Amino acid sequence: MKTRALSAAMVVIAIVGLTHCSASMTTIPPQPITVAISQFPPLTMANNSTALVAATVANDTAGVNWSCTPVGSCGTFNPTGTASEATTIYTAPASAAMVTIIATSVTDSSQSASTGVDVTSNFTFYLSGLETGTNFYAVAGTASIDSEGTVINGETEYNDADGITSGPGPDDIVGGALTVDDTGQGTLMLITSNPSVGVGGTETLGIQYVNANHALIVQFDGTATSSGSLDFQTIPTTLGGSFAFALSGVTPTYVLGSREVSNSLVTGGVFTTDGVNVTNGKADVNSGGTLVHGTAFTGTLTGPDAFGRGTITTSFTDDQFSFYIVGPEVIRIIDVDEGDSAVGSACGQGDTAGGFGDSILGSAVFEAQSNSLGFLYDIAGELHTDVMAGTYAGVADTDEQGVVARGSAISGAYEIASNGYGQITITNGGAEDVTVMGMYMTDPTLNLLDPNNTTSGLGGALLVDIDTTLNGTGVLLPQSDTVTGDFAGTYTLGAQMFDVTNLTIGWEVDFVGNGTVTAGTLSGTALVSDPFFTLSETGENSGVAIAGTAVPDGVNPGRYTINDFSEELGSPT
Amino acid sequence: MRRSRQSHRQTGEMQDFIERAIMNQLFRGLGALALLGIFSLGLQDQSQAQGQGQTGAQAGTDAVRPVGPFSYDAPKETTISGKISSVITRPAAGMVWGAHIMVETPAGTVDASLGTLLMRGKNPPSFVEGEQVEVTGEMKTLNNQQVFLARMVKVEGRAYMIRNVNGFPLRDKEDSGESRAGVRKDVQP
Repeated sequence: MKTRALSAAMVVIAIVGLTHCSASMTTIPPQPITVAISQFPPLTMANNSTALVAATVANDTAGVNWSCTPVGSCGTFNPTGTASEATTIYTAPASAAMVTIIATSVTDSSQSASTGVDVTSNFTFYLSGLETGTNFYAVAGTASIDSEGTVINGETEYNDADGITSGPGPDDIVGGALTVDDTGQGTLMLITSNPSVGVGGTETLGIQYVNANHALIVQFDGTATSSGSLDFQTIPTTLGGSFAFALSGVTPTYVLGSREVSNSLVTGGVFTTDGVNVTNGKADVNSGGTLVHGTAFTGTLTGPDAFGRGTITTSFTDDQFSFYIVGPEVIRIIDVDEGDSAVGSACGQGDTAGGFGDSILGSAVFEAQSNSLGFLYDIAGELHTDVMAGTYAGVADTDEQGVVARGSAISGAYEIASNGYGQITITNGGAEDVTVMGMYMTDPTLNLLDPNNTTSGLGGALLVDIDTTLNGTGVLLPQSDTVTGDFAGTYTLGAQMFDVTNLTIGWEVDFVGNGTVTAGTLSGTALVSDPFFTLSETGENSGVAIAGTAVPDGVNPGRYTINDFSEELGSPT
Repeated sequence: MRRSRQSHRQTGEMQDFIERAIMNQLFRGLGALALLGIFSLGLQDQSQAQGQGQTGAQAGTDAVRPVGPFSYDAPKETTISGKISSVITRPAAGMVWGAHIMVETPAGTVDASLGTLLMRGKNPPSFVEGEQVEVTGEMKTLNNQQVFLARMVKVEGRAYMIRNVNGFPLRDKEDSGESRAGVRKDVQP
């Protein structure tokens, strides 16, 4: 009985329990809300590019809010909130970053899901110099680099007009690494798909950042040496407007006196484009001292692609050109023909296009030089204009293969047409064989050396030497400050040196570096690319101490001489 | 102006050839009609630059263009001949850049500048002391030294084009040997 009674009690308890349990199930909270990313962005994205992302929300209908880190520099979402499974457009930030994208439940902020994106920045670069085979060569391209310095991808073209010409189409950049110290000095390794360039397809560049958006570069791997720059890229929706341009290179081989020869060539001028058509072109050409002035031309653009690369064809030559966009107003241009080579820039004229004239040019500094296969020379100087007379006076330093005019007075005339196509002449013989340069004016709000800098060093012109004895390219920049005391602080430097000590090997040395100027005393550290062993017994020299004393010219404010410049290499020379 | 025009006329075939070559480089591949039109324009502009009346800045330029130290005047060319007494590939300080050969002529020793490009590369031409040489060029005074800027050199049946009629350095492709990037092993200090 006891057993039966106990059993009955247990049954009652069980029934009560079950009854109680059944009542409890009707009042428990909803299933927990969960969030999961259902549509992922790519693992790597270019800056400013977009991707669709979506999240699935379980047990809720309110959807998610989108956010990301690092806050303020991780990009944006449109819309910022979505229903479950609905997509939002994620726009990557303007510069490289390791971004975490987060979807957070609207209803329960403790519930979220995230995914990572490696956002890269594109940098456009170009170089020209001398190969170890003693050929002029040119390089241009775009490298996509993430915030940790990993080169993700890119495109590049190389042309020595002597067997190594990329194409058809660009070589791929498939990897690499950017390594710099806290002074912005280091190396940029680019692994390309072309085994003929660099060391088995890998080019190593020495790099000196001027700021986060601009760097000076030299090839730094012993296969060649050259100078150029690397700049943060912004690809405009449409590449349009009026431009000035200048390129320097070498001609195809031609027969002269039973010999196959070639010579250096420079060209420059102006043109207008709407992104497809090139119109109103006017070009000067100096090919080995034979001149063509003011040739009218038209042309066509294609592209740009995701790396800012496009092509240019023109009516005044059948040469094929590729370009790489730096920004809306600057493109780097490279000749990609197998037989000839050249590289240079086209720079925008902005709102001043059509409104240029002599009055645009006031006091200015300028420099120009040959390329490595031209008549080797360089010139730097400053000038001060008389706008009403269309004349100027100034001072220049010229070095023509060791025949030097130092601190020489120059004077002459200049003329600038409304389209910015102009010319400056040196009529007093003060600059040796440099007597006439094409001068192609650019946007007064554009920094020609650092195109992303919109606040200082603005305006100027591209120069092309159109003398019969020599040719070269350069820039002219407004002179804004000649106060000696202001020449102080931290600076970067880049230089391309020709030295013909040993012709059979090569004659070019390239520098980038940084340092300080204190009371006229320069002290810094440089990378020296010396594959022809002109200054050292090692080709690539890092940590080179540089020093010198800048002595102001008492007569020509803004001009300095450094007569004791020294570089202390691993094997001092 | 007169000098330029004379230069253009008197250098004859050579100049014409260079111009043709350059124009071919610039304009090759264009349709025939376009080629004729632009070629004519180019030549017209060029002739203006070298000798005829011009407008604007261009006229001001050439009318007063000074003569620089390396300015080459083809009509003043002469040809010297003699034996090579020495070959200099590493010029001393103060000498004009590039390679030089010293030529023993009846009038004395002439320092002939071969420029910066001829002796470049892996297989530069060989000049040997004692070889008979004929050099066409122009005598200049550079850094207070008499230098014969060679435009063309003939030696032992070989001829080398060093400069064009503008005095511009030429790269002689045939003497550069194999020239490729990535051949660092070929470069020795």
